Amino acid sequence: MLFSRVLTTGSGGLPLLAPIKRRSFLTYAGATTLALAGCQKNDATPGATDVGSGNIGVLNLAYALEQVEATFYASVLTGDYYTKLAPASAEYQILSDLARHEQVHVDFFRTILSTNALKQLNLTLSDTINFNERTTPTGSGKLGVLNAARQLEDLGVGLYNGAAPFLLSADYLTVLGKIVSVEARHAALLRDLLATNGFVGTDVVDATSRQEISLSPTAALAQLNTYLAADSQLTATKLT
Amino acid sequence: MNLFNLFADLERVDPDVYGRFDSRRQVFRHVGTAGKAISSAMLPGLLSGLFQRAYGQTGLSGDIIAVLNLALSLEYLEAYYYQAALSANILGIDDKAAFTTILQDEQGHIAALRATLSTAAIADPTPAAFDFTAAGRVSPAPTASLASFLAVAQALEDLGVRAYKGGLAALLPSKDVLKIALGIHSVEARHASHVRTLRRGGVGVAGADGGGPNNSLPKSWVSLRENNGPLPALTTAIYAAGTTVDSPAEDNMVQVKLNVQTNSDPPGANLRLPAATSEAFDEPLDAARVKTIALNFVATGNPKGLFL
Repeated sequence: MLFSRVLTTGSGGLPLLAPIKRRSFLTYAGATTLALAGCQKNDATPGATDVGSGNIGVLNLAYALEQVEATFYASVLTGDYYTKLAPASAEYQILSDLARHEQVHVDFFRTILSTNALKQLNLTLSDTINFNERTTPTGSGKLGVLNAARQLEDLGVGLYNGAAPFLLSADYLTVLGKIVSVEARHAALLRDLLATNGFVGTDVVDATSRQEISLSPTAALAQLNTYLAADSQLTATKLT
Repeated sequence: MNLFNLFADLERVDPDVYGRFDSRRQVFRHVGTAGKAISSAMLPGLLSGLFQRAYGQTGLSGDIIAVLNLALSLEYLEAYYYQAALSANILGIDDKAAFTTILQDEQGHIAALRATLSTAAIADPTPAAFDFTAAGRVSPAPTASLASFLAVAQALEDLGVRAYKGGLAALLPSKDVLKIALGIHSVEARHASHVRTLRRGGVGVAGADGGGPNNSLPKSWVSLRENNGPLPALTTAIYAAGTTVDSPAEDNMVQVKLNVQTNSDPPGANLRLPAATSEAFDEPLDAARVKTIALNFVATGNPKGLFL
């Protein structure tokens, strides 16, 4: 197979992608040999799908997050809260932008993962989110739009920071870097909308090291899985 | 001297002690160069060399040291900038609280970078190293005007985000260092977002594509080339392409050879918008261009030799 040299086995038996030059990426992404490193059913957790290992595992983890974010904002655009905003208002512009950004991200990951991409995940967003409310109503079990958005964006930053070190390729590391800072900008604005000077806080930035608190892929999935249907639960057993 | 006790004690406080020696093969290299039986008279020198390498020196490559020292220099620039503004008393109560937090973040980043670099870290340049008016090009001075202060703060934070991003690839071989850089990078992005929100007048004010006229209405994220930023003489380069192909301008729409604008169909009734697509990805900036930009804020004669 022409492209099989791309796939080698690293120490510890992890599938390893050699660094891929940008020029040739799309060619390689279509190569079927990459499927060996892709997602598969996880026997240890029945019903769950494992995101895979190495570059593909990290990219699929990101793809899963972006599926949730993009679907969330697409739902925001049809909910009462957003549709009743004045189109010139700040929050209308903000939520419109967020929806566009996350759609760009999810389509990006789906395309570069090609045949290695996770399936389209089934979500349970309306179980926990009320798309008609700006913020969580007092006593409500469902999050308001801004609260849910903040939770997802903070999760995204922690997920990207925790997953990026598992990448084997500098090009992908740089791309994840390009996205995580945008997610951090989103998170900071949503937090500022919810509380004065909320842009950082000890729940997301360590009070001593002053560095973002990263989430291991498994810890990130513990949160992300709460938005996923029973048939779409994920594990990341090879990103540890 | 009981060597076994020494190592046992060390292991108690540092479980990685054997890894420190072994990972660098320093034990064997050092003993090997001695090339003969170790006499008790040689032991002190042998041990100090061993520990110097295991704990005193960084064991970092020159590339990684260069990335981290550039980051450290930028952190000092930011920290002394915020310190000056907080002393100047131009900030209201809320802003004072926000920039005190941001200053403490930068100080934490300085401590983390210094600890990582160890003896390879640059000396603390002190406030005397900097000129926050950029030789008078920021007028009124950032210490005399809230608008000037926020304009330079946006410039420094957006520059910092690009600089850290540009350094990530070089850190891939050292996961521990990479994690620190990632942990700082997204905090800088949070700072940048907040400063931008303040510059457009707060969370209740809508931002404009490209930051609006004279970058007076920046979104909390980088949009196109920000109309050259709040201080074009100093900030055009912060949103433009760097000196390498890996440092495209902020209006870039091609990621790993994929046109991310034509690749995506926007949600709802939205059109494919160049601004929104550019906003979805921040871009890295190479070290050479970062230094050129940062040199604008170095005191006349660059007394501390920063950003060279």
